[in-house]
Amino acid sequence: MLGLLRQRLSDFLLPSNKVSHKLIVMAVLAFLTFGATGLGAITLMFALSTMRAGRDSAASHGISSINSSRLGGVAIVIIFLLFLIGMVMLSPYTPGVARDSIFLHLWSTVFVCVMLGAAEDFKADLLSPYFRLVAKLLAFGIFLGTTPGAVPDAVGVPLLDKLFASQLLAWGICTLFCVGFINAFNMADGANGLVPGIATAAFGILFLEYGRPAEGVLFFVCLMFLIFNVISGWFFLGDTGSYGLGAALVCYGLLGVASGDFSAGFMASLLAYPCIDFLTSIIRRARKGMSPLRPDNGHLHNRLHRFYSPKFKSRVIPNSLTGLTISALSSGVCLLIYLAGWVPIESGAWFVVFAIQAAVYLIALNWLRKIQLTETA
Amino acid sequence: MNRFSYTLLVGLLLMLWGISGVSNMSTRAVAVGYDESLFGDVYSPDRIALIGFVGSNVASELIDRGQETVILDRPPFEGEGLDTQGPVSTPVSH
Repeated sequence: MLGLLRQRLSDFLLPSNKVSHKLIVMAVLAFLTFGATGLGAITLMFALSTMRAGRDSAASHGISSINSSRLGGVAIVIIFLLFLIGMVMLSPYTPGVARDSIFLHLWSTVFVCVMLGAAEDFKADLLSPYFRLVAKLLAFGIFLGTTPGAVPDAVGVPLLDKLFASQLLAWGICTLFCVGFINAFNMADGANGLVPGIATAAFGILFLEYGRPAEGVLFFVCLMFLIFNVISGWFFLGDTGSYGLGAALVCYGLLGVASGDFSAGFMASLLAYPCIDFLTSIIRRARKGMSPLRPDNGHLHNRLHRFYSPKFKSRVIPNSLTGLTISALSSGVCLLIYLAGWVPIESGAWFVVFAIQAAVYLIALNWLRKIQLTETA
Repeated sequence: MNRFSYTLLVGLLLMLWGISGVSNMSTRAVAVGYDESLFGDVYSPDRIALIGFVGSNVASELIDRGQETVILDRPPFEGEGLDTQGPVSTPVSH
């Protein structure tokens, strides 16, 4: 009787050895970093990752080779809202959206982006690419039009500063930049831990700078998602996550640059990988005569994954190693410099850091392309 | 109830326990005038169990910085002891 009970409990709690090992590692890491709160977040993510809705086959992902759920972004939204609602109910905390019109506009824009992504995650191709593009342009156009404080007067680049002298041009450039950035963020979401790693570093820095709960909760959720995503590979951010996190980061980034809290070079360095990869991909495709937005496997993360794959038996390790390598060498370096205090956050010297990151990206891409061409020949 | 519901319930309860602890800590921080010493050791077992090593360090950093970074911005509830020790409200939060 006792043996049967133990067996039933074991079947219930531990679906298989491999799964249980991953769950234990995730639970330990979550508990060490954020205690019971982190453990709760990981448990919620595990529950949501087992849902049938939003499940994708391995073939539909760039480098993943296991069936996963694309509801990672939905999980992030649920945990974020749960945390904020809990704080509103249990402490005298008033969210920024209820107190400040800038944050109301900012989060309305993020909400529109999250909804556009969610529609795509729950039913692929529900909205046409053109509809999504126009909706994003409208959302950011209205946000920047109604919040002039989010449009910087200058960004520290002489040529751009001349253009930013005109308010209308500055608004147009910023709107295009915001839409381009969230598409870049979505495009970079191709390996476990890549975009979550970048988002964790970015929200961590924003939280340390401002101490606002929204960034603190986003840092917590992104770190928990990073642990879950890297170890298990059962979850992807999906469009909800990449659009939502991308929109929140670009809006906070613009506000910070416009108010002079940090330089444009710092934000460029912090979010270097999506920006450099997006621009390089567009140029590469244009040179081949392809549509600039047509997906391909020429990204650095695709090539790095191809480099790691033969070295491991596991299907998850090369994927996670790819994401962690890139996020650590891009935003991780920026986080390290920030924490060590080597370069002031408002310094224009961050453009030099960004230039070095771009050079490293191009050298790595070229090197991987060459060795992979030699291997195939 | 199936496995999904149980897992969801456990996750929700753990999260709510953590949120409740963090909210309680923030409220106390305001009530005692942002005095870190009243919150005990950063690595005390209770605190680690509730918000972990990263969370505990972040909370200490915020309390050390004082009123500008602690999350509360609404006037405190009556009788929470803000009189001369701490501010009536904090200007920052989101």
